Amino acid sequence: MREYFTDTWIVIPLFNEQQVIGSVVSEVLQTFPNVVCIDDGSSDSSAYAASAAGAYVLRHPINLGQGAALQTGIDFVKEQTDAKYLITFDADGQHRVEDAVRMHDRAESEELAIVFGSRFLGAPVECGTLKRVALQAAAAVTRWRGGLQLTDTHNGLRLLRRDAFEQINLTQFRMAHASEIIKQISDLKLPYAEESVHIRYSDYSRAKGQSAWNSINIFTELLFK
Amino acid sequence: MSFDSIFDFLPGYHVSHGPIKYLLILFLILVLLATLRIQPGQRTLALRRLALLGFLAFAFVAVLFPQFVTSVANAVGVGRGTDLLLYLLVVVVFANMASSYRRRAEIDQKIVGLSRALAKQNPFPPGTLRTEDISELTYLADSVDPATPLKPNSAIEPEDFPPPTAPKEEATQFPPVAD
Repeated sequence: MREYFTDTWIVIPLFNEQQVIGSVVSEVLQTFPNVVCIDDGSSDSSAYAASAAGAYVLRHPINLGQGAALQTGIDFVKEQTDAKYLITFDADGQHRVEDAVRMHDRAESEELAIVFGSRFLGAPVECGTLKRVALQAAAAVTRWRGGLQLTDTHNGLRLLRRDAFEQINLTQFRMAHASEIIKQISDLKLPYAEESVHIRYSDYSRAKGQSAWNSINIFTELLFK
Repeated sequence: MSFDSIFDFLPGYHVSHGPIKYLLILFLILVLLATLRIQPGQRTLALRRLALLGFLAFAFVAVLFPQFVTSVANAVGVGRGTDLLLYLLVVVVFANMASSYRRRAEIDQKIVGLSRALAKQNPFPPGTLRTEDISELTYLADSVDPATPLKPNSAIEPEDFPPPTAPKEEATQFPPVAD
């Protein structure tokens, strides 16, 4: 018998992923019944595909950035539902639902307020050297600055308990929100842990912005923060 | 060691003697401080207008008596009036960059707030986005059933709006039983 995690909402920021969002949403819905996609002004039919697959859809009239979409989803779950947990999930199909399930179970059993996904805890990562170096440098700088003890600060799979997501307020609406969310969680002093997750790097997600350029963005973000 | 000799090792540091360096650094610091803590309000506006008036007065004098700019330049240790204008222009450009950056950030936050309010006002329950042909203009109209004419505001009943908990209630019934 399948479990249904009715106390959890999955938040998916969505921007121009019409090819994959339908299957991502259907896959998530087999386990988690509550999914909200924040369509960040997509110019394709992403919002339609997400809605048809069974997700709630909130639509930004214009493209604002992933950080803004995440915060809109957080607001929605905070104000319109009584969810205990919120899980952020990427729209491009790189995350696995079973990882989200493990994070949920771990939050329950260990009474954690935040569970971060990390691709560097388990099996070797199938990503380019530059990207790996950039991500590990970002995590190292975060640790060195006295922030959270994390091995992967740029992972889109995170679980937040209500007391955590009620206090998150992201103002960096472009990509710098990954660091901002960690900074805010660090200030909350809530119990957290990292859970090993597997990232499915497909040809699709590689073509989609998992490129070396993103590594440069992560580096510059570290410098100008 | 005097302050003036700190940068002696730099080539060309001693080309111009005089207070211009200190004045320019002072200007830059003032611009920095002003951008760090700007209190929007009447005082800022008044100061801005005074600065503009001062600038216009200076411009008139400079146009009518070009020699005046040169004497001001000489007084602060700059050879030519045109050089002084160039230095001042640099200061003005930086001040402008700082203030327009700050203003753009404010506008960005307002746009985010507005878009978020629109998005939250109009959540689409599963399957209710009916058209594949989505344009920027239809993002609100899509949620309205074309068969139902829009009601005037006075005719809207509270039950026309889903209660805040509606998403949760519906969602707990998901997925539908297959058999």
